[in-house]
Amino acid sequence: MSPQYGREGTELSTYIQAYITPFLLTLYLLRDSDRMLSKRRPNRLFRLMLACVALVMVVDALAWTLDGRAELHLLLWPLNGLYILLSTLCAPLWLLYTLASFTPDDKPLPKLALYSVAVSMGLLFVLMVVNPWAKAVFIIDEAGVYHRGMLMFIQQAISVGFLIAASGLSLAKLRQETQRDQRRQCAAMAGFVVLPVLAETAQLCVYGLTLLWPAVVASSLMVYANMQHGQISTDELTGLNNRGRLERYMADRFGSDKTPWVFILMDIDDFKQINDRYGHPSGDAALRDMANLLKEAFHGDDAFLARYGGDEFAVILSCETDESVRARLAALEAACAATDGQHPWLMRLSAGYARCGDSVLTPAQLISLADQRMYQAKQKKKLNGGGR
Amino acid sequence: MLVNLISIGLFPVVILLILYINNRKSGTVSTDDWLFNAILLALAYFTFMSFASWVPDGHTFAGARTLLWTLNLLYFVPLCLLPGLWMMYVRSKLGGAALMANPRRMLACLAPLLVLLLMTLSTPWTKLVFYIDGGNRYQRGILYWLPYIVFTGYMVYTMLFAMARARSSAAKTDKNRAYLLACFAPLTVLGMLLQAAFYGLWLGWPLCSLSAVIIAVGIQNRRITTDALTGLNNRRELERYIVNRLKQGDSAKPWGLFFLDVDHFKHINDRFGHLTGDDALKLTAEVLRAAFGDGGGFLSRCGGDEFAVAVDCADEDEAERFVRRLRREAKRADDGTLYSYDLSVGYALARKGMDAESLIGMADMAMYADKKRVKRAETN
Repeated sequence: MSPQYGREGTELSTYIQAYITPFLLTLYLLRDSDRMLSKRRPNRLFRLMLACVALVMVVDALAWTLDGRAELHLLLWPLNGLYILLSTLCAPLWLLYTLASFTPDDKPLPKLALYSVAVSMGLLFVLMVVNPWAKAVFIIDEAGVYHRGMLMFIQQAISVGFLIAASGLSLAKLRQETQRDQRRQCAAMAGFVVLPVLAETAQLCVYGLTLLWPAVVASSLMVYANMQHGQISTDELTGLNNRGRLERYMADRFGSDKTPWVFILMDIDDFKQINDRYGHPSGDAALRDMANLLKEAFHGDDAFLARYGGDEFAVILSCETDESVRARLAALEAACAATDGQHPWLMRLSAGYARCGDSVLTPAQLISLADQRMYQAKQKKKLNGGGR
Repeated sequence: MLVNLISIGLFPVVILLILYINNRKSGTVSTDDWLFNAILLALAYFTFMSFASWVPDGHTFAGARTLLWTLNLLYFVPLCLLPGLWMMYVRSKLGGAALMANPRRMLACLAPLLVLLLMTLSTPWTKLVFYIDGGNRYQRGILYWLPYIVFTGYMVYTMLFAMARARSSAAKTDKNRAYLLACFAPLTVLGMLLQAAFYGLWLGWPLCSLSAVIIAVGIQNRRITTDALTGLNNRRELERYIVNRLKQGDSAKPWGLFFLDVDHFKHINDRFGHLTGDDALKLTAEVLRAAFGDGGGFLSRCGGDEFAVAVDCADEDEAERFVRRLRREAKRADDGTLYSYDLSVGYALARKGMDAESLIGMADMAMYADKKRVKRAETN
């Protein structure tokens, strides 16, 4: 990451105009994320990176303004050193954020990553301290003008290395994920590197462009928008899609997808009793268990799973015959029965499904049809003495 | 010159496109979403064109003059769309859509935009707004200020409309939404005025884009903090509110936490279907707005058929007054056609040194006590 080309060929007014919007946006994202994001580890790292980007833009603009002032020679060395350290730091912070989002909060981050961040930043720090004498990374000449030195590539290698490692991690995670929205989040994180690399390449090719830090801010906005999307569309307790997301998804699919698909609605039998007899924490545990059973049962089917509300769950499956839907539900019931003995309660469910076809005109009708059939299934169980 | 244009102009275009794509992927449901996406796209277009129209400026290659005229017209002529779109969006969002139904008032509202359209369309002949001089340079015409004034006028008008709506709405979430939409104007107008005053400064569109991004982020935040069905705050926001307010300690006014749920909700849901159940929840939101809204109460749906309200409340007497008011409103809402509608309610007053959990627990228990009363009444 080195906008020195920018600094060498850009007019002051352009510089300020190019930085003012990204800088204000970074400040806004910092303020907004403070209010909206929880204090979890990945969120704290993301905010730390944003703060670092904001600081880099300030230091960069300052160093640019003072460039060529021979009388400030003594100030220019540490100022440019600080710029190089901070601008490099953004990349390892991004890697740590990526790692933290894929690691449960109670587990420590991989040692290898922490060591490599410490070693490379330490190396760069030592280089910056000796640089006024060694004049290896950058040089401030007699006139107070900044030039790049022979070892500048070290700084670039560190930044690019960390960014590429982070993207690699996100891509690896993307291949494992089956849930649509999680895949989307991974793709956005893997794509973080694209704009800065394009900007850096453009700056190397065309003299006078100032694009790198605006590109970093634009990438951060993309990631933040995806974080917001995740918060909007997932149910916090179970990690499945929430009802709002389900409704938007159904509206979209109803309009566009002409191939038949099936909407299944299910609820946990006697959930109210679990809640009342064993307390709310047990009720929550039952909901999480059910979500996990669903994820396992419909793994690899490109199924859309959602918590519909309370103890109700919804599943959308593509192009299934009645037999295969029933087989799926039977397998799910068997998986529920397999958990007997793990809890003081028995996990059972009732399900009803409806097909998106000729007789159904709106998503609401589809839901209501599945709902009726689920209710019938529940009544039948009660008549047969299946209810407890 | 070109590198300066790219350095300044690319960022706003890119962030607008990022948000546009993000919104499209999240799925659009309402006309409002569609309008807002159109605004993002239009802003990206005008930002891009305002910079692109400078590229051939002052060049003399073959066709440069035609290109310059074309680009500037492509920029100026559709410009009148944007303030119109924004005004429509804000009006439809804040419940002022009735204007659209009255053709005469609608025409009066759009007249300045039509004037602007005519002026820019006639510019190749009249050179009113701009012209291209002998050296292929863009020059301001005598009416160069017209687009700025019309644009600024609509922005300020829409801002004042949003602020009036903010002042008149009772519930805090509605107020905040109106204020969010009002904040589009200040940065935009500042940028436009600076750009009009200082020739060669490009701040108008970048700051306008920034405002649009702030609003887009704010709209997503609203989706995160509010319950889609009822428009009240959701559970996550309730917990944050309680923790924050307890933290304020003695300096804050005394307040109370009310817990409510809909009687026989499970029965309503099972017997009449989910859609009727949803209606009962929406009805409850209206009852809460009527009973607590004007006191600046914090209204929330915290899951299923449970609701919670935090409201300034000096003592038990005042709390009981709220309960009575609530019962009155609930009775008024019960039309008795399908099912009999009523609420169970319990409250706890926040005291010094309380933590969020114990306050919520006390209010919850009080509500359960009330629920038992309902059940007893049934069995008798």
